[in-house]
Amino acid sequence: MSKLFDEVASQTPPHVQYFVDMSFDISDRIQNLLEAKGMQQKDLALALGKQESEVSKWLSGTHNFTLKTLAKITSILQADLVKVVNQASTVPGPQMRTEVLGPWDAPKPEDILLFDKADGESSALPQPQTAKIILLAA
Amino acid sequence: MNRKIHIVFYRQEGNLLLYTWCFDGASVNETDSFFIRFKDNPVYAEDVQIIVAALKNLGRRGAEDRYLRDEDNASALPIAASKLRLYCIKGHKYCLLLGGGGIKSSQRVQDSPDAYPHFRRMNAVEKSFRKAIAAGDLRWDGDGLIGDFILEIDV
Repeated sequence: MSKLFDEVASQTPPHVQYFVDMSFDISDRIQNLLEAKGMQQKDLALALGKQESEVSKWLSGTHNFTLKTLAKITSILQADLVKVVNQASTVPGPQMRTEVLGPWDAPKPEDILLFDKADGESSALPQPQTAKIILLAA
Repeated sequence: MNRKIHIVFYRQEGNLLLYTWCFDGASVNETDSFFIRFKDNPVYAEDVQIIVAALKNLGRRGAEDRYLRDEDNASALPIAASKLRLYCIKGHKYCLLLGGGGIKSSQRVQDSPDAYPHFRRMNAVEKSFRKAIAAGDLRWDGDGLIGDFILEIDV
């Protein structure tokens, strides 16, 4: 049963899997920030001059975000969605991967942090369920 | 016209229990029919991969409503980044009944000849399914779907 599902999964190129995983991570990050700030989708839509249906797409987990959209959302929510460190531009052909960090993990200095979806922005210690996407130098 | 359908377990993806359905006497369920039609199509292969990757994410995160597109009383994946629609019914956060799907080629699904029959069928399944739940013939619980897995739908 469902061999075709496995076949499609095994044939999925890494960049497609990364795209979907990252889009889900970003949508969850936005949703968490909205909840933390007591905002609803319509509030974000209003602040950005967008239709609520557009924000629904952002929170769907399969939206192809542009940098400009991410920047606009960041400016309204006043919290980082994605972080990029300058080191990325000095490393030829960095290998991108996602990694879920537990509370016992901390990013290494050489890790290039892309995204942090921790619920508590200002908490001193990482909380359980903390997840980060990092871009590691090859 | 009433047709008999069978609900069948499809797979467990993480914490998510996935079911599908097939017409009585059919050798292939609706979800596999969808994969067979599109997985090797150069135009839509990546869209199918996005749907599978999205289902894997739902397996890790749960089937939150915002991950699913409302399609009348049924739902569909994905919301963005694809012209394909795979129709489904959400039982609860960790239980989905998948159907078939097709190409959404227009703003209104009624104007999409490939997707519309699957949209109608999934909504017919949802109607029959809801009746069976109300009558106590079927129920979702933490272990999945329990009860009579044979329904009749009006298509």
